Amino acid sequence: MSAHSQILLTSSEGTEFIIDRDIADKSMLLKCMLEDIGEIGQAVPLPNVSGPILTKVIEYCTHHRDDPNFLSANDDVAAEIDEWDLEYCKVDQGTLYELILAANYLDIKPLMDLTCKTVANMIKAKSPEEIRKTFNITNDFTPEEEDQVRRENGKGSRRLS
Amino acid sequence: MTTILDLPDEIYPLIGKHLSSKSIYSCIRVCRSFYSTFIPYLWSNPTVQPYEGRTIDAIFLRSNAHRIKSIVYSPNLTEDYYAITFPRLHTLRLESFFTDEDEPQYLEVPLAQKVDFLRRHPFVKRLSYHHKDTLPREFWEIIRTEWTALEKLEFSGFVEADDLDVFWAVCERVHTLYLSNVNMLTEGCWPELCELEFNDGTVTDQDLAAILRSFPSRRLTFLSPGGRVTFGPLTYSCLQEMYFGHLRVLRIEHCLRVTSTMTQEILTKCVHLVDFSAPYIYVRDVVGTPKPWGCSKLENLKIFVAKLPDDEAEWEGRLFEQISKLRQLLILNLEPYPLSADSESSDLKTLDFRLLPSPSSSPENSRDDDEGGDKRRHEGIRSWSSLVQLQQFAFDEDRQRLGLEEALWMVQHWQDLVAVHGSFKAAEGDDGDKLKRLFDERGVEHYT
Repeated sequence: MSAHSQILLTSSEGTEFIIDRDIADKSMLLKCMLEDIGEIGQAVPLPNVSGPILTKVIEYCTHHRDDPNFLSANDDVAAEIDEWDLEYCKVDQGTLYELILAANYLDIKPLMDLTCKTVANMIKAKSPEEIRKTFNITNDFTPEEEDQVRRENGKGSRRLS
Repeated sequence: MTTILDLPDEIYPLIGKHLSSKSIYSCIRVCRSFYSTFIPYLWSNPTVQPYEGRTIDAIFLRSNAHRIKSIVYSPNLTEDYYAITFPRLHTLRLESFFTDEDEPQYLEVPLAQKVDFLRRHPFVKRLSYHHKDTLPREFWEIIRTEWTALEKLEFSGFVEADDLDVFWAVCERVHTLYLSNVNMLTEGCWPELCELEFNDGTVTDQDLAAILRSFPSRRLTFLSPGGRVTFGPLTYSCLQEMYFGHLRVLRIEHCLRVTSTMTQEILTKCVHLVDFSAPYIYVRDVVGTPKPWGCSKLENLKIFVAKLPDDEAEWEGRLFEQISKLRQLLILNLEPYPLSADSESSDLKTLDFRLLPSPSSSPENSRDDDEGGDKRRHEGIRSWSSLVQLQQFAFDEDRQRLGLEEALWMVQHWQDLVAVHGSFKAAEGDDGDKLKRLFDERGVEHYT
């Protein structure tokens, strides 16, 4: 197998994408699949990933193509997100979640970490009401339940370690 | 459109690991789905604290038992609690686990049941035990023979002379030892030890230096010596020679023989420090050293910063700047500790954290202070907006006199803040109410 060989992918709508093998290898799913079955010359169907999302995923893998720390870089929870990645994540919420789902399905850990961290940053330092607004969530607690959650989990029952 | 609620369960750990417990607490109150998703993260480190707030109901504790990794058991818990098994427990803190004659009301749980509780948790790695009673030999036997994973022992209590053999056998195995009320520290020998804390005041500076020099591992990372005079020049030079490159935690705030120059040297050279407390440091010693503090990983700093009357005005600003670079800080405690009796500690001034009055305010509104706030060449706590992770802040209430304005600044800029310690000038009347409301709204505990 040459490093320059190419792989054919088809998105959920049937759109075909031709990518270099080393880009495909960023996805553990594709990597294992290609190692197991070899390059059969047929398109690999990705029924769970739409064309626009696949384009976006390929953009990420291409940018990080030669990144030597690709699999370890995002292990540091406190590390800042770099500028390109930050810009990359400036998408609408629907796209962001689709990206998470695609990264999860294709098993691309750094993209998972990046997108999940972006979601965490949207939650940080917000009150429950602000979180509901940000994510367009309806409060389905009854007042009694709300009170109970507070009682069982509030400051009185926990303490900073 | 896909929403956050459509994400599968396996995604949430990756989101949850970036959130503080304060954010998680907000999440579980959002809606039912968020509640069930995020509740495990909230419970991964809970404590059962009957003395502080409510006790968690045993039924609720049992239903969350599989999530709990660390727990505190206090003396007034009933049999129901001792019947629970925590399959993932790695840290267990027991307070008054066995009989205590002074407090007979806590005797209701039979000893056999408590012993059985110990037997069901042999995988615990860290054990803390705090109370001034004597444990039966059986306790130490179980720990020695069955708790093979134990790495850390934190013990405050008494050991019968006849049981010392078993006790030392347990101590020999651990990496971390915290002893309180146990004397004869100099008689022990601990080949695995790299963390040591004790409060035996009879240990001299010479003893401690000898103990530390005898560590075969040569990797002391944690030291918290007891006794006000234990830590002295001999221990200090031992640390300097052998352990400055390893120390992560050094707690010497009660040690009277620690000097400001020692403290400055430690902050400059111990690059791995995450937790440091010392009695005091003079502003002049910090600005007098050309090298900046090397301890950029510091998360917990407890120290009193002392100004002398003839210090130059600009020095204070440089100290603010130095602290502002400690970006990993979670806890900043600048309350003073009693200095040695011969120093005139009551006359010492400390950093002025107050915000400079805004340019629009007229001179007659300028705050009452004894050194003309406007002459200051720094911006008070505003210099510390870089401390974005800060969770706890304590200031010196007698010398600081912070007001509502500073409290507002704190909650706006330190978004993970959970507790402030110290009395504000505005404690009473209208401002007092505003202050209380402000902290309540932001979920910040205020202690005076």
